[in-house]
Amino acid sequence: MLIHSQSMKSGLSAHLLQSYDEHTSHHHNVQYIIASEFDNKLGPVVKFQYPKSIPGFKTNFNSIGTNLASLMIPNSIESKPGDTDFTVFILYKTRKHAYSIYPIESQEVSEGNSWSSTIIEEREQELSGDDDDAVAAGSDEDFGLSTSDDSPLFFFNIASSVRDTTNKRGARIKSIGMGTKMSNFLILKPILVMLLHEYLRLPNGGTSMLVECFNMINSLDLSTVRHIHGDQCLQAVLSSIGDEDAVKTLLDPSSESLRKIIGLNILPESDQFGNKIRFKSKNIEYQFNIFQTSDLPNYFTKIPLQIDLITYDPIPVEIRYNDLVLKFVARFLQKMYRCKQSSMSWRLVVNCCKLPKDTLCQFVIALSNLMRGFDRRDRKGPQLFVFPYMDISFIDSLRAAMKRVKSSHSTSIIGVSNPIFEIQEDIWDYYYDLDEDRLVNKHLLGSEPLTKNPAGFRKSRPKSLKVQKLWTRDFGDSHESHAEHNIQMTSRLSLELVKYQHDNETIINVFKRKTILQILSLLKRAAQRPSQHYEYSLKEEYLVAYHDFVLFPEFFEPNSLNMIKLLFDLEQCLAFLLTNEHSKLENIQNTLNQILSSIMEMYRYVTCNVASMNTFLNVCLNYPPTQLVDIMTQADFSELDLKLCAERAQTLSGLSIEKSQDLVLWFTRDYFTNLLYCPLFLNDRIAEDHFSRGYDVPLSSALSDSNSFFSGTGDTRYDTVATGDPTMLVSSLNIGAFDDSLAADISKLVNQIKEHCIALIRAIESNSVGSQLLEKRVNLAFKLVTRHFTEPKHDQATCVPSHRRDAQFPINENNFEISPNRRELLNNLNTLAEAQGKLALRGSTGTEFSRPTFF
Amino acid sequence: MGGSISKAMGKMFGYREMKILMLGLDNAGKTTILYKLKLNKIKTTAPTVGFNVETVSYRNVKFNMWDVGGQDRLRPLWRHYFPATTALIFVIDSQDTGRLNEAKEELYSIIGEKEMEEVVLLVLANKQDLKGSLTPQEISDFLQLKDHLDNQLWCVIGSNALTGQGLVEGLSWITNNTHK
Repeated sequence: MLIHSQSMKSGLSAHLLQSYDEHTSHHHNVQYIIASEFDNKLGPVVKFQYPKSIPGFKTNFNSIGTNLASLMIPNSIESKPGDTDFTVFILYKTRKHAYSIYPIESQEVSEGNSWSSTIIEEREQELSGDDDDAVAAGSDEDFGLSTSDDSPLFFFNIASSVRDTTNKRGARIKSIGMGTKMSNFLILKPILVMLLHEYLRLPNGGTSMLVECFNMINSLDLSTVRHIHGDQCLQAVLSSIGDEDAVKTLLDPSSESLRKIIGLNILPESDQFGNKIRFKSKNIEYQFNIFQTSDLPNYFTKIPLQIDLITYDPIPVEIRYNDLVLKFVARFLQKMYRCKQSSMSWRLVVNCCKLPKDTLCQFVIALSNLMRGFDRRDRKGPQLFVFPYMDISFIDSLRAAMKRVKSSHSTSIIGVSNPIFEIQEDIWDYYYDLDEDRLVNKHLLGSEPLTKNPAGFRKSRPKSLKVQKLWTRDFGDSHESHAEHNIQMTSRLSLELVKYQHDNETIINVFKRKTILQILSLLKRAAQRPSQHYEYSLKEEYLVAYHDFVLFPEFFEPNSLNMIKLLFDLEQCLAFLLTNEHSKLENIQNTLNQILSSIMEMYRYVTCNVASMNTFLNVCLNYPPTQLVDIMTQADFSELDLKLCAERAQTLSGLSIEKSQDLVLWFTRDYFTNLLYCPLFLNDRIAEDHFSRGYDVPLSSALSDSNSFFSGTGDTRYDTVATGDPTMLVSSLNIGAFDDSLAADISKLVNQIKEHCIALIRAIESNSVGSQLLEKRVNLAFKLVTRHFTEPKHDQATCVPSHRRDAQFPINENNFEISPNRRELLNNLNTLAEAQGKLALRGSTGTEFSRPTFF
Repeated sequence: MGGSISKAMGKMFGYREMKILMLGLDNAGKTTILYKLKLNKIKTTAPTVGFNVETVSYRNVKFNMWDVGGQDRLRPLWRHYFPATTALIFVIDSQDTGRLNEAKEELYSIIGEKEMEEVVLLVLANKQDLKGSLTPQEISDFLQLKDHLDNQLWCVIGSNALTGQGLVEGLSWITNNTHK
């Protein structure tokens, strides 16, 4: 016990009083650096690895299937001398000290199968080897790894071929790879390029440069950026804002908001070792001003490491989603949907020979990013295995690993640069040729096995256009001629996103909203059936119902789901008040009670802690247009005119869609602020007002006389608030026989709703992100209403004075902002007041939707 | 289905397609042969890291020629390229007599595979221009194909990838000795 206590004590002290050397040896930003080259006699070989050999692989990297050098030096690199290319592979921790190219769980490793036994044998060899005494010592810290940290190692590799007349074969082909647990490994790209350039200049040696570069990167203390990236709720909110101006304001280092967001009193100007840190717009910059170079050229330390403060994707990519990825997603989902194949269990091989391997790897990673719900750690849910680049030498071990995957819900995406994979049909369900944009579904192939085709490969098909068409039809498309031509939502949205060349952030935000929309539809269906019919988790049901793997797991978490449901309930209740003009007073009271309950629950949740507020804001920011909820699981979106939907919805809300604007703009509009402020416009004296006008007052009359829905305060400052949409809400509150006590109850209820609504808004305003969002996005009219409630009241019972419908409020860009990505819409906002007239007109002719929208 | 259409198209237009697999030890000249046939140019400045694949048309035949790297660690991967092969071109550096036995072992290892039982075998005794290179007959005798390949069509042709000598002759032999 004493020994333990001492060791614990010393361990603690060591952590508290870490020196620079201790830090760099214990907390690696980069865990490994490896160098490979193409040997003229042997082929690809790993020549150098630092600080130790990677546990789980043979030190000499001799055996087929474990030769990491073949993943570092991609096919055809020799054909473009002087050019560089990048590959990525991922090593998964299978058990203590062991890594594997395949994400096999630890208990499977211990089962004694061939692959795992290979690892064990290698491990034993390593343990007995002189080079691996550190491994034998069993110290995790020797590798900068933590036993509790099962994060995969991302190996980001650069390779190049240079002509060399001194070489017998005329060229030197070398590669350098860095293994890091940082998913934003792309930040290392500039360093890798410089390093390979220097490394290639030396025919032999150069390993001291590699070591020095490794130490240089690890000389930075990246704890600040890790802290920022580690707050997943905050990252979810920041990445959902979709408004560059708002993000810039939030992350402006000269403002207070950045400090509040990252929870620091003072923005650090240097890391714990004295390396300068600079916050720069959306980035954080680390200077290597402490590290002294000896073998590396000086300029290595002059170029700072730039890291994005917001992580939009689980693994950041450089490619634009709409160039290649979305085109594929639209087509792939469609194929999956038409064939009614499971979206939870499939294997996709993506082949690409013409484009750089960098693009291939990023394509695969981008696909995996869109499938972020396929968390391999979630044993109940679908698992995703990603191999950004795989060489043919790994095919046997891949085959063996696939056989051992026991979960029926496993999905794999494998990037390859070799068409020979097409004939290895046992490892894929879908084969996509990125060069030819050709997707093959194995289950739709003819009865004749492809391997028996004497031509061998489809690549050999005739070039004649007609023949090509025939050929293409033969392999897949013709089998769908009888299939339904339904287009599901994600495919439809993908096509729209491609059409208008939206940026990655918009694309992700559209898909987030689509996810919530589809969740709402599922929840609604689930509510209509007996509870014993639950066979799947919501995520599984989502995948089954929509054949759609593009989903965002944060919205499936209970708290987020609850917030989604509450917002939807709130919207439904407000819709009820608008449309059920002849409803009984009791029904109206119940609805108001439900509104109150929803707002109170939201308030309770957001005031728990910052994380819950961020969760709520994330849901709010991605709250979708809900007009389509009822038809999400059954609609063919090729037939449904979404644009018309958008136009109608926008006309109703007072915003007409411009011809140049697309459906995506409608989808990504801000829907939550109006929803949040709507309850403030409820009239607490509605019972009396309506009774005085009689039971059968039609909606049109009510709308045309909307001043009766606001309680007068005599304060004409707020007259123009009546131009906001929510005035419609109260119009529907038709009362039957006047009942004093019920009217009083309703009046009290409405006031309670307003109070809690104000409290909720105030809570949001108290949050750095929330306040910025409300500041940027909320209509000035709404702000004035809020202020009215918080200022000393002229009449506590009234909320908005409005006796003159014709009064106009000047709305300009400064006081009525939505997303800057949709900045062009701002011009339309000035027409809001005019649109109010349209609203009244539409109200008088009846609503056009079965369930109207307020926004 | 794909194969049927291919055959139908072949009958209609009178052409054939076949997959040719070109193997051999490293530095035997496989890539030089491939690009001499394809481009009529010498395009070899570096060893082949993985593979090259090109379509070469000769007469009414389209050859899908696969050239796979011959380094020690790449040889075990050759078998992945075996399926659907019509003809094997095994390239030997006729001057590298020190590695002839190694080449012979690799050749027998390939043709011993079940998937390669029915392919026709063309051995190109390459680098005939170099001093001290063995003649096609000497290579043939060394390989002892006559003794071991009773049920398989084979042929040894001398070649010089730099000039193109023997290459077209080789393709012609393959064309004439494969099913129409």
